[in-house]
Amino acid sequence: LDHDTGNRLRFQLELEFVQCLANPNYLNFLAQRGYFKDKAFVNYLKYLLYWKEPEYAKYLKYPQCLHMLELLQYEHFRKELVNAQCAKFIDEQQILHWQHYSRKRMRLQQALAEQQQQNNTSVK
Amino acid sequence: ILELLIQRDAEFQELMKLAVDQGKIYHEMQLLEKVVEKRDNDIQQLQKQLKEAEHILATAVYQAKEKLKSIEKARKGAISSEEIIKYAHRISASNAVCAPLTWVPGDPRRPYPTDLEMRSGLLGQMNNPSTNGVNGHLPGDALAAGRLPDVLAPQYPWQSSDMSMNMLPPNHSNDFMLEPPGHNKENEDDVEVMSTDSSSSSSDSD
Repeated sequence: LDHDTGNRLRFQLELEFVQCLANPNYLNFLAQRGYFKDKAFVNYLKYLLYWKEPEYAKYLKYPQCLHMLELLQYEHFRKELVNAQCAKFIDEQQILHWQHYSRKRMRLQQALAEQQQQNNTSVK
Repeated sequence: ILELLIQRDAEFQELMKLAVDQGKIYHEMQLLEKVVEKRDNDIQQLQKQLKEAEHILATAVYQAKEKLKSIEKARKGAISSEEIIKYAHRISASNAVCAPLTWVPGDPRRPYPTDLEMRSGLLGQMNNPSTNGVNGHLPGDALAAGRLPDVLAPQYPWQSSDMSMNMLPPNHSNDFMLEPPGHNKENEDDVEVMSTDSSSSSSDSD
């Protein structure tokens, strides 16, 4: 029973942790404290790749973290994350991308509204 | 002399016969050669056709194999449409992958877990030394990385409360170092780090 509880706990902890990797500021934090230089930590990041499997991925609320996890497998990326500007850039791009669909939807709505207006005026 | 002449004539006649025979044979030879040539052409033609057929079959077999591969792949990834819809709803309703329509700069919501969410999660609550022994080196490490204060908070949906008991993370090994010794030492370091004071973790940029 203890083993099961331990596994459940470990599952939840790893689920939380892997999603934290979607936060570029957290990554910057980890980089600055040298975690990315620790071989054990790097191995851990590789181990976390199991979250890409569908039976695990379905528990992710922030699937974007998987992209970050993939990038983190590269040493170059890990090194770059020490810079605050790097993290800021990633953050900005993430937010812009996050807004992509909202903006697209708003544009569609605007286009639709304009079209309806045109139809109304032409009918008259 | 007449005899000689007759002899010569006879010889000549024979030679003529021979020549005619040879001519016939030569003629036959030519016919046969033509036949042989025709047969050669037939063989070449067949050869070409066989080659073509082989090529077509090889292509067909290859494409069939590819098709089979993709069928297998599709079958492996088969997911019920209901699950996909449920998942899509889950990640979009919470604004995890698509910004809320009313979002403006200054809104604290983000496409990733924020400080607050991280602190109120299980990781954040793991700061108690008493629970340190349950897991090995790394979740505690990550926790130390967060340096999160002990906060009691409601469960956020991103922590999957609907998880089944059978979900096990693979490779249950607490040792991620290449060399096995030093394992205990890591735990010691762990405890040390846990007891240091909490500095502020990553700050949100607005």
